Amino acid sequence: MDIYSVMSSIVDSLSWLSLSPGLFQSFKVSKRPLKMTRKSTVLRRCVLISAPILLTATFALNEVALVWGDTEFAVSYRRFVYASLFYPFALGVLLGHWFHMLGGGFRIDRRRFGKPLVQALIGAFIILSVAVVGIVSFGRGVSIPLYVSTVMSVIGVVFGMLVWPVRVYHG
Amino acid sequence: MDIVAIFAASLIGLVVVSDIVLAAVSSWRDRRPSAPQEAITWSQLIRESYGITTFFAWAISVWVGRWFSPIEAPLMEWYVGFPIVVALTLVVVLAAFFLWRRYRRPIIPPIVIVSLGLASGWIFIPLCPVL
Repeated sequence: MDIYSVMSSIVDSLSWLSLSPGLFQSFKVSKRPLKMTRKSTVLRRCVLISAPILLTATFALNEVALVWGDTEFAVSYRRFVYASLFYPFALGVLLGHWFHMLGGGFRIDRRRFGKPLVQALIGAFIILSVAVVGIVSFGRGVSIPLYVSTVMSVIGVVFGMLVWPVRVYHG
Repeated sequence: MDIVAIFAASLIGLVVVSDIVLAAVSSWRDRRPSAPQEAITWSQLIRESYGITTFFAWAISVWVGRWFSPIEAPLMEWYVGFPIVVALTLVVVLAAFFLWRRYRRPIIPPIVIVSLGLASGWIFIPLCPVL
């Protein structure tokens, strides 16, 4: 492994961690992003500052790996991103999870969708199942057409919208 | 299965397990009377910003559409596609902003912006990777 692969792997995993709903629910931040409350901790401060940076960094690194990467890792990474089905599905889930509301001021009744832990378990199970199927296919060298990743991203959006919506919206 | 696949699978597993643990911790923390009700999360900041700007929903969905486009060969040159996407971004963001100033609430449903962003990424700036 070269330095690029190590760097992209670390940023990638941290960024997925920072984007995961459970992490956001756990480490709450102040309404005023740069002015911490008394209860804020160093960890909260780090998450608040690092989350947008990591989000940008992972998109930039993915772009580099997907377009210009010519190292052995970048080629494998590119194949993995498309063949594993995890990336398109998870990014679709993220979009559906965040931006699902049907109109301005629409509120989600959390009792209709279960508690956060139940949502997290269902979501984790589905995502893990997709990842396992994709990884096994990838390991066996199964060639997956491009449109399958498109279909997976759209399924992810619908899944995130209907099954794993955010708990509360402003209204 | 090569070492890269095993490494990536480990990362995914780590994320999923961490998510479950953190959601469980979160449920416990939220039930405490001393839980700070006024605090919000970073993802809530993104979502609440939707009332003012559609930029995050639009930009992320365009990027996802670009990466996972079903089109196997670009329909146009990059110097045509990218300006079109930039122009669309300006239109979408400014239109949503002026609607917010007029009505003081989100008018365009986010899922519409996400759908349009995905379609724009697919059509105008598809990645078309060589696998």
